[in-house]
Amino acid sequence: MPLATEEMILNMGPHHPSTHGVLRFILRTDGEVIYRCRPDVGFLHRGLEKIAEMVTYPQFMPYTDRIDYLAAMNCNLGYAITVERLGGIEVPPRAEYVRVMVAELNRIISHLISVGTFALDIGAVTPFTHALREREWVNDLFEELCGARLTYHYFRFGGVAFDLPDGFLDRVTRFLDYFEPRLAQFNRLISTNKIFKERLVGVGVISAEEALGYALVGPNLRASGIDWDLRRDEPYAVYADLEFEVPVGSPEFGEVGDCYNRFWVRIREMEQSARIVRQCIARMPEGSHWNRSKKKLKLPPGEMYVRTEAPRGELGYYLISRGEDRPYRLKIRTGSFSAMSIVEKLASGIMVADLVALIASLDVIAPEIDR
Amino acid sequence: MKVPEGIRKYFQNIYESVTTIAVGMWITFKTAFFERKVTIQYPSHDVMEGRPKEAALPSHTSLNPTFEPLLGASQKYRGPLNPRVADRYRGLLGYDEPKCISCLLCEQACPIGVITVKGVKIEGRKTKAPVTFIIDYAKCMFCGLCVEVCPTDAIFFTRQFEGATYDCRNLIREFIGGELRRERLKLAEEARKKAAEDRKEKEDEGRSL
Amino acid sequence: MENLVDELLREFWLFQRIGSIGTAALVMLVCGVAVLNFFGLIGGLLTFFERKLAGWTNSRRGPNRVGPYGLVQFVADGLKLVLKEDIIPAAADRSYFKFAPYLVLLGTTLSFVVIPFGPTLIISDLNVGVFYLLATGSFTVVGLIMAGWASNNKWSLLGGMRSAAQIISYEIPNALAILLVVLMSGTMSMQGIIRAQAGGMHHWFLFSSPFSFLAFCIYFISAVAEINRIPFDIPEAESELVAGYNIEYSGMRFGAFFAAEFGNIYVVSAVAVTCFFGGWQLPMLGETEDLGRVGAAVGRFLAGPAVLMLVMIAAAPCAFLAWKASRAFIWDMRRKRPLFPSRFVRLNSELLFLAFVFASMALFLALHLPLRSRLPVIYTLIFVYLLPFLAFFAKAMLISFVILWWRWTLPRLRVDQLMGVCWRYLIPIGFVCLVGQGVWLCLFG
Repeated sequence: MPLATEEMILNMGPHHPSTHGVLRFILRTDGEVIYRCRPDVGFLHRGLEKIAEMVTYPQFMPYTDRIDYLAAMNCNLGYAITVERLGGIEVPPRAEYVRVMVAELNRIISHLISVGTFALDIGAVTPFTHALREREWVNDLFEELCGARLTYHYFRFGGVAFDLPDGFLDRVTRFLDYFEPRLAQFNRLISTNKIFKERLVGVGVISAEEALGYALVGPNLRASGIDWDLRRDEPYAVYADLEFEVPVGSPEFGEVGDCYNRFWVRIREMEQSARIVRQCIARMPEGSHWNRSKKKLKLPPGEMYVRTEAPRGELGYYLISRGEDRPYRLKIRTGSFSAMSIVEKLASGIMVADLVALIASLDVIAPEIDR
Repeated sequence: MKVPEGIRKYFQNIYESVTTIAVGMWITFKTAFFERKVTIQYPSHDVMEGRPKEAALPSHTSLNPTFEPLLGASQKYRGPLNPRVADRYRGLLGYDEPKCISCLLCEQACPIGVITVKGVKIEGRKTKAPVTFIIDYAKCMFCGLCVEVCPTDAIFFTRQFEGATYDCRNLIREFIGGELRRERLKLAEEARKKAAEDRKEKEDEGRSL
Repeated sequence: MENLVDELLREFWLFQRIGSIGTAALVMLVCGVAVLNFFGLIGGLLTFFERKLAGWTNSRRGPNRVGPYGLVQFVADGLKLVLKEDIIPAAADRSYFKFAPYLVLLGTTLSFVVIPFGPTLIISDLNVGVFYLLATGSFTVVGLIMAGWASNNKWSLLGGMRSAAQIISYEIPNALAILLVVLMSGTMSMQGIIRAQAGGMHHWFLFSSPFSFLAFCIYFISAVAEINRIPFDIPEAESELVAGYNIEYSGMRFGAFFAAEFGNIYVVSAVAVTCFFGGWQLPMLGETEDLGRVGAAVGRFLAGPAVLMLVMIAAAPCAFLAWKASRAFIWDMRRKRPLFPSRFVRLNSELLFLAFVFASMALFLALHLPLRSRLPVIYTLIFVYLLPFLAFFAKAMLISFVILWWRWTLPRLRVDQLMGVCWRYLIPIGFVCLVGQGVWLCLFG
């Protein structure tokens, strides 16, 4: 006669060390194996889209930092391009290259936190602190560039706010020379660790059809085998002139679409971003950094949807303007929100420890989900 | 001899575990004992100047040159990071009253409504003079829009980041002192009266002609 | 300890007055107090060292504010835990909640009874020493499950359940490795096992045969699993169940769990040292006669003129620091620094600590001068009694260091993988080792 067991309803609540931000998961488990997992989002909703209707275009730029504070430059970039396209504002070439350089540097540090917290959730503490140590270099660089370490507010319509300080490009090169061997060391420490592989290979496999069906974007999509990167396929800024590879999930790193592949896609993306930054430094043109106009910005009436490749996937800004100096409606489409939708499907039948690994591998961040 | 797949994987697992664990342990060992530590020992290290502070804590010496090169947390920072707050760092806002012309551009530029300005017309200056200038540091998000639009650099970023207080009300700062405000309001009142008299005189002149 | 009681009864009339039971009780009290103090001190120092190592492996400094080099940090931590509010959840099972930490502490402190700190420094050399250790290790399981259940918290319950499964499973490879050691030494008594490894480093069970080396690896891995350390710390997995069975505990109850964990690290390392590293034996020296001879030789050497030179070498840094201190004093006085804390004492605490260390070294060496004639005897005693203790301590610390090191290097295993490692890898290999060792002993004697 089978043993009668009871189901347990566990609340992986908003306060939890390994949900990335304030997320809540309501789990129905039988102790270890999860029957059903329901994500409960909205704890970090700040009404950003509503705020956009109340402030002017330049005033909303600092708020875009806070959509994904780990990749603030990329969020700024998307918004700046949206407004510039709708308003027909030109950007000088130096500003374009600086934009790409800081966006890619920001991608590096965002992925550093992503893989670092991933390792932390699996139990290894040292890779996390090592990743943060690498991140501190770039924080220092950004601090001397624009004055802030997390929410940069560096982009303006028509360029970037400040020109590069003296010797900045040398310091960036020095960082890259320091960073690439460190990334290799990081891989030796944790990425090829047998215990780490045991935890992640074959866990949370998302097939290509599922990934497309649930509208996953960014590294999550690429790890499932779909070769799609907005920087290469719908280029914006100066990405069309730059050479870089787009890492896609491969059977070399476990199963295609599992957590290990998502981890490795981010590691390889960091290497490619370093390559892009080096090219930007080599090609940095002279000139002005901000095509500043003294007039108050009023966009012509119309709509514009611009999507850029933020570290967490496709970040889309849908702007509807009625001809005023502030948006009529600004809708922000983030990658983390779609990633949350697939958690419920994947979570049945796996263990709690695997759920932690799964959430960490999707690289969700709560402010992006809730805005 | 062909070894069955399962047995091969078994020993391969063991081998891989041992080698990767050993490699990981060596990297941690190297980091622990052979690399410079990146800790910037704030607050005994003065991050505004970028050097150790004088006697920040009772158990440390002052920058007594006799002991400075010896051990302790008051040593000079030798790690790879920058121990000094950058020049462009966006710290707490600062206000230079003499330069302010009460144009209210900063109040309009702020997305949150952190700044409150009121200005009055006074004899002897072309531009208005501020009588209140309140910044609510509790709400400021350090975006810099106000600093960007100020035509006279009256509002600027200091490099100060230590703004925590025990009472929230201490975070709302009024920059124009009571005396200055009363004096200016008086001057403004006088200027208004004078302007009213001038207008009356002009009207009288106009009527008399 | 029985020997000590008998000796005391024989030699000193005072104890004969008290009677044998009284003497035994007194000796038990003293030994208990000594060992518990040692346990507390070692637990505290290990927490301090863990935090320092954590800092270093993460490219940062560990605690360095509270005392010289942060050494007083564990005292501050202990004091903080004692002073914290003791919160018991309203719906928790009060009596079990309060009792669980004691059970866990009991499991650890009972193990100290058979740990051989030196040739005669053992509370009780039971003739079933290792078997007793395996038995007392099981108290911890009961305590953990009790803690998990009584907290009335599903996350603690999960932690408690996982830990029960883990610890009980890993006792088998633990026992297998110890069984192999018992096979090789022919006795279960701890001192017997150590004496069976006499004769130099190549006689240590670690190096005796490949099977015993494997047995050490199995023992080490299962010991790390027994004490819930990474890579097996699923019961207290920080990032999944915030502290597992510990969640609802605060204040000194949590302190009890914490101290028990670090004491367990030491116990497990001590057992590994006893079984595989020759215990308190020094690599080249045998037991009492060898040690005594070396001690006498060292004493004779130090009774000669060499000691004067050594005193001067030790005193030189002191003199240097004293000179520096006086210059600092003058510098301070010229600048009219505040009087309190005293001008002279406003030195770097680490500097004072170093000065203290050198001064005590110099004083120690200076004491040799008046005692020149008695030195060989004194050194014999030191070498026979103190040196083995230091050797044991150093070896146990080295193994504890590796256990701490693992925490900051490796990720943690999932619960079913953990069980897989135990049942599919450690136990079969353990059996193979056992059989292989038997064959080895038959062949090579």
